[in-house]
Amino acid sequence: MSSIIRRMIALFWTLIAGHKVFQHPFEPPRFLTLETAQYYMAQIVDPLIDRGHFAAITLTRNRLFSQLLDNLNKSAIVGFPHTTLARRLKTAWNGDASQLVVYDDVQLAVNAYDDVQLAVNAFRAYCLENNLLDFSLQVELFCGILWQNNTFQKYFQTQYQHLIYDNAEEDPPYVHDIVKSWTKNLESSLVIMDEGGGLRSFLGADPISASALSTTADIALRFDQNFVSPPPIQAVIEQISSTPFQKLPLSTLSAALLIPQAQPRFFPELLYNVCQEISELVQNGTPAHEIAVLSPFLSDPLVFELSRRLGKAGIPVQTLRPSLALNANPHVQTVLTLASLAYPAWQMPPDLFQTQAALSIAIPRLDPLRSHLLLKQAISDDNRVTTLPLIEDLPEEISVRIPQDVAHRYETLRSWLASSDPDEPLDYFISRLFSDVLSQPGFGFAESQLAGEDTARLIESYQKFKLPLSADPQADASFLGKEYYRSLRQGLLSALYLPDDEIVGEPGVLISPVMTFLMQNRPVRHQFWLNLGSKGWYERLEQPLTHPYVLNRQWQSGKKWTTDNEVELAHFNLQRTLSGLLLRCSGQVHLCSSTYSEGGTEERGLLLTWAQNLFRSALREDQNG
Amino acid sequence: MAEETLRESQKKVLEYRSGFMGISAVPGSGKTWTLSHLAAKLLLTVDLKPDQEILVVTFSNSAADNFTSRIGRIVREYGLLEGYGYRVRTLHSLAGDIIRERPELAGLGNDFRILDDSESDEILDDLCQDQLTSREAFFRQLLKDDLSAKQADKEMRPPDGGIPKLLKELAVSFIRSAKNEGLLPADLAQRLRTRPVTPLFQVLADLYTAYQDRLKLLGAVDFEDLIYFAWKCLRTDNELVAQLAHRWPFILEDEAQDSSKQQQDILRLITEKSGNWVRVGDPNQAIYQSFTTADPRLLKEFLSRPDVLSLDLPESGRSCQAIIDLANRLNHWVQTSHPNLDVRDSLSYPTIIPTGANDPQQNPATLPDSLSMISTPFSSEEELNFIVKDVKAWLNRHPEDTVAVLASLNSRVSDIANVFKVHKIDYVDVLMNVPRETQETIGSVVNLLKLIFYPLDQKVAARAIRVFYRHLRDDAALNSEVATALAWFNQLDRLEDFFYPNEEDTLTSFHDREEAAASLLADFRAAVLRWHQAVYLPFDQLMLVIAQDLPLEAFELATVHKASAYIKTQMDSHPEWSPLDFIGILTDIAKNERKFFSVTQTEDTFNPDLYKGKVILCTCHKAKGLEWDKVFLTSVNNYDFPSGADTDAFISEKWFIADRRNLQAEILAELASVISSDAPPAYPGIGKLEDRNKVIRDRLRLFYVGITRAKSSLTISYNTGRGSGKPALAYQALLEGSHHV
Repeated sequence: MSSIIRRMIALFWTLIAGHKVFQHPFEPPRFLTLETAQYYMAQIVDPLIDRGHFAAITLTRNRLFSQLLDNLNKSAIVGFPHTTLARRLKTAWNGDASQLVVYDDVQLAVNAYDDVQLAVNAFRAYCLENNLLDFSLQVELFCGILWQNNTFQKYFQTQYQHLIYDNAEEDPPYVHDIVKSWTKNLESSLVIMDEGGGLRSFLGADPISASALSTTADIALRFDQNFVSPPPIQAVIEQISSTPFQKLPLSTLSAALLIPQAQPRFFPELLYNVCQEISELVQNGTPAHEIAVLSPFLSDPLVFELSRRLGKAGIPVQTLRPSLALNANPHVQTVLTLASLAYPAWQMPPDLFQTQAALSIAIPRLDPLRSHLLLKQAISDDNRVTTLPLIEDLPEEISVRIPQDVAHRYETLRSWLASSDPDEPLDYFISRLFSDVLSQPGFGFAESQLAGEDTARLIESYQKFKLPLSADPQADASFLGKEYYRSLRQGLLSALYLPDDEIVGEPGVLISPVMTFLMQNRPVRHQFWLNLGSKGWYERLEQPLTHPYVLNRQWQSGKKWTTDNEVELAHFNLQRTLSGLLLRCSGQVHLCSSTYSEGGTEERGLLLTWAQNLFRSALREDQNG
Repeated sequence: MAEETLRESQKKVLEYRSGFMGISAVPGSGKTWTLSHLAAKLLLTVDLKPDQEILVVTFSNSAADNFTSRIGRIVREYGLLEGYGYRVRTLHSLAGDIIRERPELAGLGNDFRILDDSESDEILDDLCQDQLTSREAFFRQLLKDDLSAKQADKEMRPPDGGIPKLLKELAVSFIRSAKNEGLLPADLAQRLRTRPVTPLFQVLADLYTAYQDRLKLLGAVDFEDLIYFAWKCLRTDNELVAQLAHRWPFILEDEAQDSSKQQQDILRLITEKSGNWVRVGDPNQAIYQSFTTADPRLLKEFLSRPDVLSLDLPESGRSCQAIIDLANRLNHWVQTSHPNLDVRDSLSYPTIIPTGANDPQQNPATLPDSLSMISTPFSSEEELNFIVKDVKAWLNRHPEDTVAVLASLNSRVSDIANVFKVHKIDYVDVLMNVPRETQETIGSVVNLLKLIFYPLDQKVAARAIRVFYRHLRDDAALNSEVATALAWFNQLDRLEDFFYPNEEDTLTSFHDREEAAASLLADFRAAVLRWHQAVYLPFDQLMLVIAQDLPLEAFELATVHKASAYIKTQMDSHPEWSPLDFIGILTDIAKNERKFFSVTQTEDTFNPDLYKGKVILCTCHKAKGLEWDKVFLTSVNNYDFPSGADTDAFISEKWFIADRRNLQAEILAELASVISSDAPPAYPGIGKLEDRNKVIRDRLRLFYVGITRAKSSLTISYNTGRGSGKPALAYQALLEGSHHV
């Protein structure tokens, strides 16, 4: 829906301009991505923080910016004025008046919501002044102006006759509103939703609103038979939704959930055991792609170790996880390091090790030792490389240690960088660097499709970044390049580019975060559940400056959000997650826990307690029986 | 200990079923044992719901580990499921758990970080340096007038000058005290708008604000914040209190004498409804009062409450009669004869009683040399020589016994370590921050990481080979192959020709001569090339890649994981740092120069019995909770253990400060007046007496702790320091009543 909205706003901008919402309505709109919105939010909020606002909140700035944007987005997708954000958040705050007086700091925490209001108002005003359209403004304009406009409706309604709308439960209510109004004029429409879904509630998904949409349908079909899970697993699914706690016979339980003989003490031991078990399963005929290793969060070390151990055993591995941040990609790192050498005006020279790694990737035959040898001749006192040294300027005892062909390629790269135009736009530079040098025979990106894709992604990311900024007459190519590089390095942009999940590797044992696996809707025979003690199995994202359940259409105005709500939500989330996983399991679940978690702490979340209770009660019954 | 052999006092404790109970336990009375059994007994007898747990709270990570393994063992004996129905936490980790229930109440996201001491130290160092630079003239005014210009410059010079060190100490106590009182920078600024304060107070208030701002930028909290925020969450949210009260219907608290008011409040709020709170402690071992917010009076008050069942665990099988008598005499003398009436409450009864005839833990026999109280006024160096001589003699006579040398100050422990090195006395620093096995594991990884970042350094490469094959050390044949390989490797001119041969692989010709050694080098080279491929990874992950290639035990691998997580937090805090900075941090951990909470190899924590024949060297503070056959308690003079006499010197009254003002006492008194909105206190000199008394009390208890570490034999000595030192007053009193050397 967001891409339709954006297209329609661009197409019907003159209709919007007529409403005089913007200060310069007859200039074109400048669409912001989540990344560029963060960039502008930072420009607004940094001075506020420096003036003492948000004093009661302990958050990194990037998180703070994203929560502010989240507030704006929630107001748009739920459909309330952004100017009421602070009031809504304050009303739901559960510290009572007398406590506010006694505990000054809680008062400050509440006042942080005033800071929120101040920041989002300022951001919105800035957007309106500069024709900047962040996601919230796009939704507001579309729903509030375009959708209500007859000219637009005439055009839009003639575009489509039939609608198939899947995963309605993962969308926010404004989409349901539009679909509801839209379907009246369509020849046919099919709305599909998963009753156990709503996994993206923290992003504004509203399964109740989706459900209301389905009640307007002429025909409603419900598919409630599970053709995947065997009877023992189905018994556990029933147990999960039963209150009070329902016991299961040990035989049923053991057929559905496998627990190890002895719990290992440390996480690496647990990984070793998991790999052993997977090897045995594969040796006994289970196809690797019928096995999934699931954890609420997938850390890089976890993926790395599992992939490595399973790889050693010849078992293919596929990972499914949010894509690597752009600045963690080695090809991107290489290009940007070379760019920072070519643009001395940025004043952000790379360090020795960055440059060494970049050279070794750019020129595969230039190994880390020889590139270190080369660069050592040119580093500053603080280990920075400001310019690549000329081979002919090196002492002979050094230059003879670099093979001729490598020296030649190095010199090609060095002279290309040295002769590049410091005023050239960064995307042109990257494109030329790729085509003139890096993709040429003998260089590191030659014949690598992945390197090409990574470079293209970098160019695209930069172009999206510069689009709204370049309207500013002060923003020349050097400024834009520098701001992009700086923002990327500070993490302002890196975490948000390509928010989709990425599948890496050939079909094999799937390593995935739990939520991503659920969204994939892919059943497997064996599921290994890791980090059982983690609260990540059910915990909502805690965001002190916003609140997905309060800023929600289902939230009853005037109510307080309390610890009881929190506990109820945790149980609901756990139940939904477990049911979802078990419904996607055609064999058995392997419960894996170690005394000390991956982070080295003892964790005792609800899932571990549930599993322990289930087995304890079954063992007791069995012994008594 | 079987049920039938329980002491009467222990039986009474284990009869507990509900309510408030307070236990005063003398050193060596087995309070950990008793509390562990009580936890297990409650598990057996109380009908806990599936989501309920017995909560055991203690003071340190090592004590928590100890409780966990002990309760686990007992629970197994009872045929119950280990790890189920109970939870052992330190006060700080408990606070973390509480905050994580509702982080937003504390203005936190759920990914908040907890800074360790070294990280917050670094931030403070940085900020103090800014203050010193921008307000140099002000700090110079604090110095004594009669210092020469050279001396003054020396005292101003960071990081080791008197003023930089003092400012840091002041900042630490100021911030800690403000947080303990729930006073955040914004509240403080509010109060200061209408109230004049001294310039030094303003400096510290600014430092506090800047420090908290820095934490906010990192999305992090320090240890004091943890306690404060947990306390705040509970005070704010009754439903949260009810939730936790349901989850933990019983709380057993160990080392209760070390709790601060906020810490006590946290447990009080959770147990308010159930009333099931057992507090165990020894007020006589409260040794942190003068430099933390711990307050042993709180436990004493609890013990005297009418609704609290107050019990004693007075029997101890740890020490021989002579040592018990000495500890009891000290206790009695302090309560009845200490000339400073204000500190007579430092120690309290019960006194220590030896165990009975049928007790499984029998006190060691008193021998002729069980107690040596040296009255000789040694100079500092003479005392060191005496210790060396006596320790050597002891080790010769008792190779199977455990021995420790204790001093009250870190600097004195360093002096002793240096002199032990010179005299080749084998000493162990296991009580330092980082266990030896952790140091070795991290050290191995560091040596391999160095090869990546100093790729052309021959020495680094040779060391990396040794580390890579350290598991072959015990195999003589293979070890000799490693030596052969190293000998050949060390003769190489250019490392790049070995790792990345251009035309001819030099290893081939070596392989023709020494096949086994060359194979070792080939394997090593292959590993290094793999690491080079991974060099684009973030540093924390690179560590793990390298560790995978080492034959590490599970706990060693877990150590590397923990170190990797620690480095990740450093990377997040310092995105501008280079790999060499992270190598520096790991090197500091490997050298035991940086605090690092690691995993432990075994389920038990430090066990002195593993170090027979070696000398354990540590401060009296770190010795708490431990025991040795022989203890040398050193430097028991009136500087380390002041009594309040006119001739005593106090550490916090710095010699280089004008009028020997106690700036710490003054600033804390001023802070207290700001908090209570009282009139500003009179300067200078405020708080000095109170602070002195606090130190005197702490040191009397520290002396008591030092004495009670010894099982069979104790030697006490003192030195005269810079010439005018005397034995501590309490020691003098004990000497006067004893047959001493």
